Amino acid sequence: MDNVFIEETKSSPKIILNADENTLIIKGQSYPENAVNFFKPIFNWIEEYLETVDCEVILKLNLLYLNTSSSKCIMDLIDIFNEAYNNSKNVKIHWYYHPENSAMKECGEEFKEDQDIPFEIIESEEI
Amino acid sequence: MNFSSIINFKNEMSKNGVIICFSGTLSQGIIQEIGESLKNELEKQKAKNSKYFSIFSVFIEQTQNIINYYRKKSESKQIDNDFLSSGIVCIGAHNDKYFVCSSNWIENQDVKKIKDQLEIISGKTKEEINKLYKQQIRKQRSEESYGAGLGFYEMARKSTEPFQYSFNKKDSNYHEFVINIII
Repeated sequence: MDNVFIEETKSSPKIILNADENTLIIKGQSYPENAVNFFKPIFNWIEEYLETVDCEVILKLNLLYLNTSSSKCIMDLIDIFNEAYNNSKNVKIHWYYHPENSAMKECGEEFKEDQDIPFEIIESEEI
Repeated sequence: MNFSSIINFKNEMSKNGVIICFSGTLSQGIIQEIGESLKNELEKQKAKNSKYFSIFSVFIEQTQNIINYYRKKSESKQIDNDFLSSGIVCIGAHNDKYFVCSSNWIENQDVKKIKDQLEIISGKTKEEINKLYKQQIRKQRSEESYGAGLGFYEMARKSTEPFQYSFNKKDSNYHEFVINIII
């Protein structure tokens, strides 16, 4: 499958989806005008990828800010990974936050609630 | 507007601690630029980190609510003019607290629904609002709405005082909706 690389903008995050290296990164701020449209191709790619992948996969999320529509998209994405985990896929989530961004630390903790998938919350100055 | 009115207007804004004020047609581009400007101003003022993110968040949610409302209305029918896309947003600081205030026009038929939502939130504790937020984020998205139905809950989570809001009838079709959030 084709890899995806979307450059960061003021209101949308950088997206790296690389099936060759099994690298999945979403990084930056997310408050696009239409979060559903922005994340749709990402959902499609990830769903297809998760069907066939058989090695360890870590979804790396390093978000500075999410508007509520983006939060809903990220919640849905985490649910997809959680389902894959419950279907015996070797998947994990790493949630990064900057030491000065306690809001994003709390956000990660909220997303982690009620999930079965291994979900690490990691303080980091840089991903 | 005559010159002395402009001076008065500027002084009123200063007196009320306004940092940024925008009145006009809101768009994603405008929101982004104001957002950048807001970040720079807050850094200058050394707003504590937690407040900084809360202020930014409330600003985005209020302004995107206005844009989403306008888009929903303009897609469902012909609107006579674009004035639903115009609004006012004001951000400022007063007595060690920050405020984010906005105003836009809404159709009379939508007043009750919004008022009911705000009244429900006003009566809730932070824990209850968190619970409502978590329930809503897990629900299927509504087809009708551009957002995720979470904006007011998120603003309530970030605010330090109850919302201030009003609905003022403009004419037979529209009300002016004003909301002020204190952080």
